[in-house]
Amino acid sequence: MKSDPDSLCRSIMSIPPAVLKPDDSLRLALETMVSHRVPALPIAERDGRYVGMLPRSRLVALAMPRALRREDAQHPLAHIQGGFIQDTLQTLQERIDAVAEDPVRLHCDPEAPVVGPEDPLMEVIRYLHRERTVLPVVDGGRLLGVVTVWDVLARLGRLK
Amino acid sequence: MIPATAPAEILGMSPLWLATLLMIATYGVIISERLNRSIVALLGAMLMIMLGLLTQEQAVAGIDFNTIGLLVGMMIIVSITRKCGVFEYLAIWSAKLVRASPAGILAMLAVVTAVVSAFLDNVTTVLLVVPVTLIITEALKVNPYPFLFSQILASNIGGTATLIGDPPNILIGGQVGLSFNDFVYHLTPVIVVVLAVHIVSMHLIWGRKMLSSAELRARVMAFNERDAITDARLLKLAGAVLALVIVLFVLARPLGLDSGTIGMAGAALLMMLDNLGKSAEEQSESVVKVFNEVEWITIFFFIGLFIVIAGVEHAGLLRLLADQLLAATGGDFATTGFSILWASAVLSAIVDNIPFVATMIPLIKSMAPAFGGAEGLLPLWWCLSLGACLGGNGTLIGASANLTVAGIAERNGIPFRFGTYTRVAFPLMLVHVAICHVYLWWRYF
Repeated sequence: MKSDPDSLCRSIMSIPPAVLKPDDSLRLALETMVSHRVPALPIAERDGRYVGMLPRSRLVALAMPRALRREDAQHPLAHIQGGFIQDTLQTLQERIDAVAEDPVRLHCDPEAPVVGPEDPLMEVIRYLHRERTVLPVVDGGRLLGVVTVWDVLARLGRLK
Repeated sequence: MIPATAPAEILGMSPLWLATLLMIATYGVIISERLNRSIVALLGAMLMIMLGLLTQEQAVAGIDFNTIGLLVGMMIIVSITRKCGVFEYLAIWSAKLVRASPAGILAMLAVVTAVVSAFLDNVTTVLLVVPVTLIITEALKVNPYPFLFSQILASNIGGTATLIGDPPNILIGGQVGLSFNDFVYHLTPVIVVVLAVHIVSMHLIWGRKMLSSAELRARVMAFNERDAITDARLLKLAGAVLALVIVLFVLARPLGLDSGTIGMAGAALLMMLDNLGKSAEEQSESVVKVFNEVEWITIFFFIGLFIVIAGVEHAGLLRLLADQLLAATGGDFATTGFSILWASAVLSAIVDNIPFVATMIPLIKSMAPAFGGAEGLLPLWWCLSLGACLGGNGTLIGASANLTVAGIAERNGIPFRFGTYTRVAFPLMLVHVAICHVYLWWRYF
């Protein structure tokens, strides 16, 4: 049975405002992310092969002391609050400066969830309900587009 | 039907041989680390019953619930206490006490780790101290490796000082009926000396060469340790309960209380205080969280081991081994003691010390007639404890705290290799055991 095209991910997919290349610097990624106000940017090779996602939480994490950078609540160090640290803006900037020229591929998340254009729309909705991020749409290893919560809301409100 | 006595032959083998084979197979699979150790111990235990070497009743009687009660009770108390941030407070406070000088911090954090570890289990201690250490060393821009290395050794050294510091001590204390005070009176003095030697060796190997600029030190001096306390009410409650538990441990004998009862009573009291005034829903959520933090792998591992050991003991193997050991040492008390000390140390550096200690306890107990009754065995328990606990420092796989620190270090981009660690740690461990040898010889033999 053929699925209704409107029940598939393809129907709400959009073109990302920017795609990073693996060798772009972290500074460029930060500037792009700030200027477009997006929660994550996809990274792909020049020929369109998908590499991974760079979430903004990763950039914030890089400004913190290393022992506090963890995204997993089950991690044994997750209970450390670090409330005693009195870092100034300058110290945080120094940490970012130290990695600013790193290529983004060093910091991307290759394990971030991806969806295919033929995946059910509901799968995407369930995911975006839990996580505030951007889902890359990948087909045959190539980046086709992204799905954001804005794409979903625009369609839900019949704005698009 | 449950057989009243062990049959003469099972599967064509004498019960003694079968029990021995089963124990060797169980320990072999535990050492191979192919299967989680709690599963292996439970399988071995159930086979002891199913093959008719033990009845279910005998197996249950073999489980030392005093030890289990103390372990679970302390795990609950610690899981609640650590939430309030007091250990982060201690680490920061001690670093500021030495004006954030790297060499001073290296020494102070070893002391803090050892003292905390004397009251909490070693893995919990390093999980609390290591993250703060990483934050401090990053701020000072010094190599964190010496600090982490020193804390591994300090946690195992400090844990040896008391009844509740390290699982081998909990096992020995629980099974032999030794009190908190016995451990403090007999072990703490030599542990203080070993810790001092450890701190001096860390200074000579690394501390004296460490440098950091005044500007970076000012960064650490700016840390506000008071902000580390996340829950002041909980801190007061947990502090009061922990103090009460220690007072009860000290008075255990005149009060006629066993350590398992004290640990469990402390856990129940602290859970009650922590949940007063909460809604029924919040209470079940908080209690489930606390029970989830009990290390069930360790608990079931102990339960399985107790049954396996009850099986070999019942079959007469331990009696036989004790006779062999006595024959080998010519029945000489000091030789027996020192053999236990050194064998425990070297074995504990290579394999898990818990099965070893759990097997040695009934074995040493059965030597009582040769050495003037149960009272006469006292020095042998200290040999076993010092060897098994300090031996764990010898290699990276010698104790769970070692692997925990190595794991955190690797995740934070600090290489922590078996060979690099062992090259420095093993000789230091031998020095520590040698100090204990002299102490035991001077005091007991």
